[in-house]
Amino acid sequence: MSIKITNELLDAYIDDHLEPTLTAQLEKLIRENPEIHERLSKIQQERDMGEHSPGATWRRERLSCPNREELSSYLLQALDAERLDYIHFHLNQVKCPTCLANIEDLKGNQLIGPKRETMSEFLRKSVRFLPQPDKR
Amino acid sequence: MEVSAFADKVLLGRIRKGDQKAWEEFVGHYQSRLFHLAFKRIKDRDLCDDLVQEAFLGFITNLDKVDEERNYESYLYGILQRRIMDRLRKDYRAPGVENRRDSSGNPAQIEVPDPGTGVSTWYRNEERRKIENDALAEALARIIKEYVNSGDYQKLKVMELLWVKGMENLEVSKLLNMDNRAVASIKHRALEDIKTILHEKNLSPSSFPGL
Repeated sequence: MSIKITNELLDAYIDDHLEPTLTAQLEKLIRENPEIHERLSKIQQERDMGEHSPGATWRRERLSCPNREELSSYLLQALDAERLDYIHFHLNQVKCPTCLANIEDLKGNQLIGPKRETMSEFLRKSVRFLPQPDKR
Repeated sequence: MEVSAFADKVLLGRIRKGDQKAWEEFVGHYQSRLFHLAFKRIKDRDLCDDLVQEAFLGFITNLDKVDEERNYESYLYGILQRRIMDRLRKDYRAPGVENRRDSSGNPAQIEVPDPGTGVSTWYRNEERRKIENDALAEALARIIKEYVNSGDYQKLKVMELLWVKGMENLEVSKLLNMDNRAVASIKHRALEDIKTILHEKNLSPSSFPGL
């Protein structure tokens, strides 16, 4: 399959927002084609200099992501048809990674998840990084 | 402000005061969804646990940078996604290239600059960056809100595929079963609207690649 390499596509690649198969194809092209590698570096440099593309901002701020309550309602199919259709698109066509992770979590997949004992240990150790409580 | 966003803001305020219970609540609230985000890319539970913990540590040690007026869930996801990318570039390859080796027999690497670590990061005034970033986010949020409020989800889908997924016009028109000219027109209108909003804020669109 041939891929049209737009700057927006390279931008989405930097944010790891592409499907694994497309990522693999693109990585191969980047490795083999100096011109594409150059374009990718230029986009990264622009980001380093603080220039913002619409796509990078949209992804980072999650501007069109449904909130958690809406995702719960989506699972129950308790939204109007247009909104349901859009969320379906956002999950299945855009494949938004954070919303998909939220859906997995909301489905209550107990077989896959953080280990309780590991997180308890982490909590115990991490409190030392908290700001000191105001003693006044 | 939505109820959940308000509750998050209160929780963040308590964490900033060193409230351990609030920190536990925060970790408990986000750990599972963060884990699932990591697990989608890295099918190693122990490694995912590590990455989630690194994301929480990144959050707590940068509390002063967290803007409580913004959605800090996105900030947390951003930290985790950078950790995931770092890990993928070090140890993993996407399907199809995972068996590539360099001349020493080690997994092949792609030299993609690490986001946010370039020397040029310091060239631009941090405050200016924030103003520009906020303005672009606000402009985008405004056009997205207009699409949603008017039930014009087709336009939202077009723009999301073009910008978030990086597709080209023709690909979008085929996917959404639309005329290619209609896609181009929606994109043109969105660009004009964003430029107008940026001009209102006395910002030059030339600072924004893709506009």
